[in-house]
Amino acid sequence: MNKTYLIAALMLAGLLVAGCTSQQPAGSATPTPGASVAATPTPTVVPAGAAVSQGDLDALRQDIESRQYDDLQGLS
Amino acid sequence: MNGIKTLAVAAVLLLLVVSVSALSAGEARTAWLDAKAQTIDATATHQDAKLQRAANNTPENRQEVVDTGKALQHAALNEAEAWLNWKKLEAQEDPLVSEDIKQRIYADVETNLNKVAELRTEVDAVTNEFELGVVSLKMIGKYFELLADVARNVGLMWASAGSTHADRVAEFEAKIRVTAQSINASQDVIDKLDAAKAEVETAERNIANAEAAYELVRLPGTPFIKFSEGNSYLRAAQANLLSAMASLNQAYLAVTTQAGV
Repeated sequence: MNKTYLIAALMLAGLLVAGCTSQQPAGSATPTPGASVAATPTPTVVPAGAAVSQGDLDALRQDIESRQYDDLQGLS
Repeated sequence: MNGIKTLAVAAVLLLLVVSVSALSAGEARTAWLDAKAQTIDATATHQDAKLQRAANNTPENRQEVVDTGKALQHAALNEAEAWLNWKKLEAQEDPLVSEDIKQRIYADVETNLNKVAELRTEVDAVTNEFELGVVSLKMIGKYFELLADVARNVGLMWASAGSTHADRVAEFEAKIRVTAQSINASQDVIDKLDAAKAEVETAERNIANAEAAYELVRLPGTPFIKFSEGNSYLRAAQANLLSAMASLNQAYLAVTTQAGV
């Protein structure tokens, strides 16, 4: 009977240790020297000017340029 | 035999309709300029015929005055028709024109094309110089009436598109300014943005003046002069906006280079 309790306690302790190991944060692992580590993207602040592209500016300029305002001469 | 003739005429008419509807606004403008050149030629031919009749008043020379006069009136009507077709296509193709204005222009064009057709019937019926004179007087009066409504709506359509352009340039200027300030851009960049802003403000004033002039394209009055006045303001606004775009482009390049975008 005692043997049965002892085996069950050992199994529970094993499960507990295994559970704790799997809960460790991934970032806390010490990287092995020389191993490749995926670079964490650095948050970049996109300037508001970037919301305007060179293409936008060119398209608008062309549209403005293309307008023709022809007069009427009446019965020529 | 008559059936074949009718079919041939119907086929030609169908081809004409298809070719007109397949025109682009640019091609329609070229067609108008061609029609305009033909009116100038027809005017010169008619003047020659009148000089010939003055020098030698024969029945043949009198008939020549009538024939060349009728040709001139048809040429003027062709010119008006070509202009109306161009205005319709121009409105149809322009993404900046609202559906409401488009429909108003289509209706004006349709009404005035019908007036052109009525005048053609009157020109065809002319048989002598007296009738030619009567139709000429009538046409001069009608010609203004014919084009005034369309010219007014077209002018207002152009002014509305100009206003949209000015808003877009102002929007770009504001966005680039925000970035320029966030990266402490040089004074030169700020000066370029200030210049662009000032040009947009002048363009807006010119567009407002154009609108006011187009509103006066009505009868009685001087519709063609007012139309031309509105056009001059819009040409000035166009130059202002292009100048603003040149300044914006320089500011944009400086800002994006400094920000490393």
